[in-house]
Amino acid sequence: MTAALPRATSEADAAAPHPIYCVWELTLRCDLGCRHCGSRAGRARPGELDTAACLDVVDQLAEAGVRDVVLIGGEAYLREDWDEIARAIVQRGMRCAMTTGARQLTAERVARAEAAGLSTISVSLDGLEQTHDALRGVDGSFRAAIAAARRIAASRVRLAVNTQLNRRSLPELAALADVVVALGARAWQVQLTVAMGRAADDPELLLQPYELLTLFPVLSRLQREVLRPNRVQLFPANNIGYFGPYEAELRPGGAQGVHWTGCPAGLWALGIEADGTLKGCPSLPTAAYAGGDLRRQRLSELLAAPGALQALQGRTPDDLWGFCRTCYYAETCLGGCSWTAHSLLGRPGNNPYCVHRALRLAEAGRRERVVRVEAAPGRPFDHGRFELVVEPVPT
Amino acid sequence: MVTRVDMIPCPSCHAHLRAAEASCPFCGALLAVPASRRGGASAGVRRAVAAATFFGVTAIAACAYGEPPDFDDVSPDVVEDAAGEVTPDAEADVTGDLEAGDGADAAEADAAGDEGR
Repeated sequence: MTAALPRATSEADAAAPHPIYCVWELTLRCDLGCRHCGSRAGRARPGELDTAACLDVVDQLAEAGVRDVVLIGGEAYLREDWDEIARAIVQRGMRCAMTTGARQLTAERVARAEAAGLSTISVSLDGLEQTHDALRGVDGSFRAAIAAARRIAASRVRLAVNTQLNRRSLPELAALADVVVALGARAWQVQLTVAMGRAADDPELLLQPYELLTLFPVLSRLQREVLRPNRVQLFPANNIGYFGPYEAELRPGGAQGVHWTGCPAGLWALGIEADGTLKGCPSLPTAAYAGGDLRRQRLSELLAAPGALQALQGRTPDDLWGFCRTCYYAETCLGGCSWTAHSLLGRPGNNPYCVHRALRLAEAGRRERVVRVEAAPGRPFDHGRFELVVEPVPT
Repeated sequence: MVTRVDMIPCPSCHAHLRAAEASCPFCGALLAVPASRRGGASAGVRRAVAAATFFGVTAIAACAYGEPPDFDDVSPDVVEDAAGEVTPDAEADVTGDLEAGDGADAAEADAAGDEGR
């Protein structure tokens, strides 16, 4: 099964770490207007890489030892050459997948994905019809996504679903789990909506940190009663955690000892923006974490020269602050998801979106709330500023 | 990075603990941890710890922009064939009006520009 696990590390990888997973925004052009979109997708970026440049990037990724490439947007399929790039990725021996809102993932495009050799297409479903359409900003987007998911399930491409967890979607998670099962999805990735981009403009959309104490029991019950019995693999994204009583149950491989080991940005993971900007993780704020420009620089040079790309590696508990610095898990966790913490508080290392932390605070009769004190400027992958309020749990 | 601290779940409260703990600092349970796992995990556990780096990427990915990895071997019952007899739908209706989001105007133009592809 090793060949089917390109994102798992080997001992050789551990001896000589290098990026093995790359999320690549092919274009910022999008056919949806999602309220949570961190990149504020809609129109193409100025200076997006052309086909020849993209194919050169494919070669560079393969030469760097990357094994798994996920195409995103915007909406990747809105580039006419998206499947040409996908085919090149596969031909260079890398796994290629795509994450999509699927509004226009027609039968013809699914056939092109199949022909290009895509292994997985993950369709975004953020709630039932009314909620999904409201979050995605387009009437009819839910029905379009469902229709596309059925096409994928009937093809050779593996179907996965991904879902934003926020105040709109949380009440519908159980019903959505039934939809995921009925579609024949093999995997369901869930991720917290993070205060970046348009989501930073709409703070009421965000779950409050103390609401993880509602979310995690729901995920746990769905895992036991709905997903496992129906052979759907739950994947909590990097900002779902950390430790506490749910780690072994929710983390894939948890029963075998797998657990969160810290932010992989720049070490094992890469993110590429459509204009060639390189980051250690696709979600990180561009202004603070841009680590190179593939229009002018070679990937091999950027990986060889320690810089912004690897800025989040080599940290120790001394780099943490707030609750995270004092946490039992500090050395292993290193503050959870850097993207979540930085987008919220302006720097990584103190992440209130942690179920262990919420539980410890609740035991002391306290909880944390985030309050926006500064709006985001309105650029792709930007963020505002929030403050943490620690308060007694209301009785 | 991937071998910072090996951890195991507490058999009582399920919180992860450093492998060398004699008792759980959260619930107080005494740990009957095999000696081989105290002060250093097995190679299997080390591989699992290493692998753990990726299974949440997403969002990747985690980050939110990633996509679930192939990891069917933790669910060995998962069948390899497409689940169920699912028939592809007819083309989705994508002609609905765009309503919200500052990408919507551009999206509408883009959608119109993609007709016939």
